[in-house]
Amino acid sequence: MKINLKNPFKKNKDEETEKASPQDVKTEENAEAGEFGSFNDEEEARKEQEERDLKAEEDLKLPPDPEAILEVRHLKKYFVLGKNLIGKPTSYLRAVDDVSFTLKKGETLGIVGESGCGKTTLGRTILKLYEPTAGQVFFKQQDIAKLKPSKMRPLRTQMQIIFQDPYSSLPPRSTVGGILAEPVRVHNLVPKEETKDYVLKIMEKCGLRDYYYERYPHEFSGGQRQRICIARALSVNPELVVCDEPVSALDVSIQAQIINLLKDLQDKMGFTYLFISHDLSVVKHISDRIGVMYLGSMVEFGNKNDIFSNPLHPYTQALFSAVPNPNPDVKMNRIVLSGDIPSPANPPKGCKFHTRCPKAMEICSHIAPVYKEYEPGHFAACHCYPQED
Amino acid sequence: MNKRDEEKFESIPETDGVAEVKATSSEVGFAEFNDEKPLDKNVRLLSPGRMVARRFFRSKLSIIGLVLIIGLFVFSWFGPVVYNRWGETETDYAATIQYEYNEIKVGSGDNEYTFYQVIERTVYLSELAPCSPDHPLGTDKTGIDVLTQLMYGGRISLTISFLAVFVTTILGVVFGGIAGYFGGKIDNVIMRFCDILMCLPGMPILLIVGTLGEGVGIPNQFRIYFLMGFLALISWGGIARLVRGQILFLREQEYMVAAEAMGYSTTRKIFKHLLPNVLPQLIVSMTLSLGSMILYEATLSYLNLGVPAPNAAWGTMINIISRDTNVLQENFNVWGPPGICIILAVLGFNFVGDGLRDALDPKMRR
Amino acid sequence: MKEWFKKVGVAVADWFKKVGSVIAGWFKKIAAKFKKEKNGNYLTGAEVRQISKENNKVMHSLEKKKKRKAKEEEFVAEMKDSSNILEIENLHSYFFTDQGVVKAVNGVSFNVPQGSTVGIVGESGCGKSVTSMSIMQLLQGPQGQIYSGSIRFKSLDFKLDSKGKPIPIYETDENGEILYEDLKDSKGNVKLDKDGSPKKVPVHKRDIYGTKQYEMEEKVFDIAQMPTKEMYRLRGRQLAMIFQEPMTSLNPVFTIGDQLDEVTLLHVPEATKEEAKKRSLEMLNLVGIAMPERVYKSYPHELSGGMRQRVMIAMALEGNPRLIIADEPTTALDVTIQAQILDLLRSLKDRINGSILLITHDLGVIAEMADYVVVMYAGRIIEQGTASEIFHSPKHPYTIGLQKSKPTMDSDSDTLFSIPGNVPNPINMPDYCYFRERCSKCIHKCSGDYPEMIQVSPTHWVACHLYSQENKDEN
Repeated sequence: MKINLKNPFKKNKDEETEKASPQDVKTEENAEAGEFGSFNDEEEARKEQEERDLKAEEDLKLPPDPEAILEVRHLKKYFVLGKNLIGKPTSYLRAVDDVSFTLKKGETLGIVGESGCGKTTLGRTILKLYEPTAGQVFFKQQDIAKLKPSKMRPLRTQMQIIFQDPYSSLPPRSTVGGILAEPVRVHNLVPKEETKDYVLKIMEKCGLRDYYYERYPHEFSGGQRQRICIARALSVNPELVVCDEPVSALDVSIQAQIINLLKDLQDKMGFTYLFISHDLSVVKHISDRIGVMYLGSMVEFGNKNDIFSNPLHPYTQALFSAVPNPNPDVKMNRIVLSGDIPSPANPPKGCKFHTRCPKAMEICSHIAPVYKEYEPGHFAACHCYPQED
Repeated sequence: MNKRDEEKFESIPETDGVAEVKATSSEVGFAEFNDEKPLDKNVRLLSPGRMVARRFFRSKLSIIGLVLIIGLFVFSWFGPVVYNRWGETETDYAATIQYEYNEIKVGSGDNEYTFYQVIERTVYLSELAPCSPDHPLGTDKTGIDVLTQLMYGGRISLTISFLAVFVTTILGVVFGGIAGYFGGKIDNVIMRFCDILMCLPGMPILLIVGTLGEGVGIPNQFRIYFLMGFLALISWGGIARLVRGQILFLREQEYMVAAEAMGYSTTRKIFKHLLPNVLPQLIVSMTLSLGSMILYEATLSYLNLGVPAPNAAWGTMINIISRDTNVLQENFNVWGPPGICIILAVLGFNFVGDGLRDALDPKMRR
Repeated sequence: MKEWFKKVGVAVADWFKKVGSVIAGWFKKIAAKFKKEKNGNYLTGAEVRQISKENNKVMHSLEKKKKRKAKEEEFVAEMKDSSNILEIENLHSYFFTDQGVVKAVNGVSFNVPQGSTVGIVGESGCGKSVTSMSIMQLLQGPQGQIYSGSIRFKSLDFKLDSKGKPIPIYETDENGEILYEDLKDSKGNVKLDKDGSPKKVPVHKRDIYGTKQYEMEEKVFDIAQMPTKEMYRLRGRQLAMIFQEPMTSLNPVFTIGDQLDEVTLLHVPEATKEEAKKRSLEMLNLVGIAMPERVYKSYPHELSGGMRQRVMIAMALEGNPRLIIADEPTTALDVTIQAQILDLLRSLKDRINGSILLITHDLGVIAEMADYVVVMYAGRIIEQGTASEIFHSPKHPYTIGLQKSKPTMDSDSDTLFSIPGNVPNPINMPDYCYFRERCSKCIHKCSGDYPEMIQVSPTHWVACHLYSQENKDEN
């Protein structure tokens, strides 16, 4: 079957494509209710889940992709919420629930999502700052998910993180020089006498003046602090940098400086970025690929142009249309989602988005959609599109 | 004028009137400001230390507290250097001659005579002497100068309480730090142990231990140190909790996550990144517990478990009133001053502690 | 005897000198250590003392002014333009810190016309929030003070009779005769007077929410001159504020209902609990909450961020305000929820016939909401005009840069335009244009005085030397 990947929202105007479109599975809820009304949802859902688990297990046995610097397979991170008397966990917060993607060297992957969608947890789990619950993380073809902390330590220099809040991410009681020189000294990156020169060079790269060396973080503004954070991440010469909302706490004019700096550094030093943000326009600007997350799951993933020109998932469409446009004359045809984001501790059954989805169908509330490749490199998980191969 | 600046000009849309100005400005205007200091360099800040000091000295009570404490320290340590007339345990044997009159009446009616018998007595111990130039605060029952004793007693009291607080703090930091950093079962064991310690009634146990110590054969002059050491052993729970809570909070701070991401070792994280940040809270709680330690020492001394005579701590000096009610009624100069000293010390430490808490807490903005 | 005194005196002095020198040595050591670590970037003790001495003088006099008892004549003013609801003229709001005077708002003037939305946009520390706090007189004293200027606000308040009580409005029939109804006791029985005929009371006029109506009168107050006590007449009733953090601006120990009712009970005279509840439910309905009864009974922690912000808006509407100040109302919310709230605010403005002062750093939000835009930088207005003027033909280099530096969904450039440098520290501002160091279009004149506001169109003003008369003549 040929799949029409036109925006389903525009679809109604376009009568010709109606048949080929996945759209015809849904439309009027009442008509479809009869079709799915008969099935035993509990049973069905369990079977479905078992099948998928089996498939996931097979996936995990495959060798790592040799081209990718980072490959994540069925990664899960559950936080224990409640325990019974013996200490056995009874309820979980599924912060990251079965996420898979690959990232090539020198590319930027943008992860977008609203608060509580697990994007920060994903970033930290990949760096093993949180112990993953299940799944694999291949960093340069080495599975680091099960690595011991002592074995992980030398790898830390190759993967770094930049945080959202430049105020709490710098230790308040050391000078800028101290902060930047510490990792260099700990990992013996350069001979002792050259440490200061090395640090000064990095500071220069990040646009920090050399007299900042003796200063304390509290003397700086947000933008300069974020530069210090970037310099700290750079000081160990990493290959993969996870940027966890690096510009969200900054002013607009400073945001642009930091984004330009990050791009500049990528060009010069060939970093691979995992760029996490809730700001779509920033993600669009910096990323090569984009993953959209909702309640711990990846709902859509693909090249930037594919995703922006042809968003498949209704959530992605709504998210894009919700971004305010700085042009007072354009009155946007906005898809305003009703309701609030459900708690990740108690996500809805079936498709997690069906409670707010403007195109929800009967099946959505029973069975979670398959995360499937619809175009080369463009994945989505939605019942609007064919589920079988 | 470098390339980058030119690019900037180009990227600004040409609005009417601006384009022409641009040409002139790019040649003369911008270049001359280029090397000038950025605006924020002209502004000088308040250093962190000075900020804390200003917040501390803003409150009058903390100034009073500081003056009291410094005063007491100067009094105890430098006092005996200036007022060195009497030694620490020197008894005043100044012979004073006391006269006693006896009235004897003889005869009756008109022939009544009154005889006065004058008895001259030399007293070789100047006990319970009133205030005089020789003894500004008089002497006590054993003829020791009260002022001198007060100074030396201050040394003992303050030293003992400082030592006790240090031992408490070290124990608390170690156990609280371990519990907070490692969490899980270790945390549980240590915290439950803290709970048990906090259930213990301090004073009765100290009394029992004091008696036991005598039985074991601890010499009297070391008894108070032994007791305060024991007190420190059973009272580190509060500080451990404080440190644990603080470390739990700091562990979640992003700079600790960054330290983890940098691959620092556990010891480095604890000692270089965590503990220095606990210090402010620790100083506050230490200052506040100094006051209570002084009270403990005084109580123990009052209960005859303190420094034995002729040495004296402030508590021991008050002890006299439990044995001699005459002194309580008539000789305020013997037991009053040490009592006042204890009150001043406790007040001083509490004022300073409160002031420090306000000064070191960045959220307090008044 | 004299000699003896001399001896003692010399001994004591010697001893003091010795001890003094020892202590001074310690201090020198500590000071040296500090000096090595610190740099000329810090203020010295003497300077700090000098600053705080001067600050205290000003602070105390301003504090006294706020606490004084004043007659109404002292703070009643005249509007310059009667179509405005709020006029701010040359407002200076300062913070007197130990590091120096922070001129957070430094000569700001703008108007809010009745029934319109005015947006203030700027980066953090530009004084936009301080402006809104000044309007509410909520600056944290004694450090934060309105130093000078005037904030004229046209309030619609209850008209008071000679006893100081509000005058009720009664229902009338077509002829203008006041209607009467039977007086009932709490059980619903008709009360009788001595003669046995039912007691009559005039029927109180109510609005659509069932709130009693009173005679109103328009008065113009100068908020900058008002004592704090008098502000209670305006806050919550005439002026309402929506804060940035919906998580912390509701009291966690009371239900939503309690907190909503309180506003009515405080601001409407003779309001009963039932009336208050009815009004609260109406308001919850108005802000688009589907199950007002359930939300009414719940506690703040049971609601999500978007719901709480709706409740905050309902609370602001409760007092029937003439001006709603929304201080970053959507900054803490997710994009999809932000879209909901903006939708709500827009539809509400038409319904309640009020004005909105919207404060935000997000140009997109401003573009969608505002009729007039005020752009602030470092405590001053650098440009103001209608929304389309600001967005389509921005004049000030900062406004231009700000718009270009935000990546948009449509743009596709490789490097972003960025304004170099940082927002200046607000202490000891220079007397030339504050944007000079970051400006790419500097001309000679920029090192001169701070530029005046220059009118470029009937509604468009800009503070930049590029547009001054002389420059125009040259071109």
